[in-house]
Amino acid sequence: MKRILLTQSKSPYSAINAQEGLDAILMGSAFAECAVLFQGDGIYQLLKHQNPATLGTKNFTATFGALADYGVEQIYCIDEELTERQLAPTELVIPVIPITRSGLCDFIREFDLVLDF
Amino acid sequence: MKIAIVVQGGPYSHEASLSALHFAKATLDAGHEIYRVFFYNDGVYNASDLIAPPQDETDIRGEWTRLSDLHDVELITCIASSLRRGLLNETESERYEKSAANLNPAFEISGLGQLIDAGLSADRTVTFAA
Amino acid sequence: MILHTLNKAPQTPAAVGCLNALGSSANSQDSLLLLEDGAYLADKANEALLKELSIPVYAVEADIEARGLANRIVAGITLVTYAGFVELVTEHKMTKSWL
Repeated sequence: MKRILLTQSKSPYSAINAQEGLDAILMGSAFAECAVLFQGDGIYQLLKHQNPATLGTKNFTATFGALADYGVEQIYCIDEELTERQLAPTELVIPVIPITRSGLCDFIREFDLVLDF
Repeated sequence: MKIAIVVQGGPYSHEASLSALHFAKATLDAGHEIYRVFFYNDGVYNASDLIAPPQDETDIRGEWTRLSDLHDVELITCIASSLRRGLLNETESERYEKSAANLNPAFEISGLGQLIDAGLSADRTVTFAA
Repeated sequence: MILHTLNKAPQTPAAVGCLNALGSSANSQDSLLLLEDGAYLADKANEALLKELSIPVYAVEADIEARGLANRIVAGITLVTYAGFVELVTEHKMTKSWL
């Protein structure tokens, strides 16, 4: 089965890219083995304690907890980017596997397709 | 080769769709096949039938339509992105009881599955985004 | 192997992420293509940033010309037409867009 890497690079709420990227991940899981890389400010999508109720925007991050149910269990981030943002893995809503910057391109090469959001 | 193109930027507001258009034309000139052009996120704005650019500016939507008409290129807009941004074909316009439909006929509304299918079926996939 | 495309200007999160990654992990078969505002990375003012990279760097000629950068670009960057862009895509196994 082909392997797709979907990357999420946008922070949530200021634009809908994060949510629409997640929709693509869920659809992708129906077709192929999918892994997700949260890179750059995309890692903020996973921060715990988000509450957009006053904004009136959907808290789409609740869906991240269901990714495993969709068969999407390979969730990655870039180790140095966690450190740069002073984020600990325990502050994120789902477990992530940190990869190093120096290993990033080799990691990407393992996939058949990359879709960037 | 079969090449899939993903467009995530609207016309004029960002260069993404213009870059995608130039890339699409070059793809065909080189003798490759465009498997599908999938418009997602703000890319769906490229499908509006109501765009009326100044005479001295590139008619981006018109160019996409011409590409489709002349070379049988499939232009798909994601239904969720389209509804959210008010790009409706007749069916969706009636379904949601809106006053009008505005999707240019060269474009077809479909699901995200078409994006994934394009990525899996084509030999190469290129994303143009804002 | 991987064609990395960058359409954002230097100092943006996309450009910073892209350069950081390519500076430490690209292999000799990868390439970087600058397009749209990514063309500004080809400006001589950013020579130090590009020196970190050991992979071929390309830029879309139309974007360089549009922005008036033709006489300011760093030596060693290869300008390509959209036909050249297509060739790069077909020559590399996959394309990753840094957004």
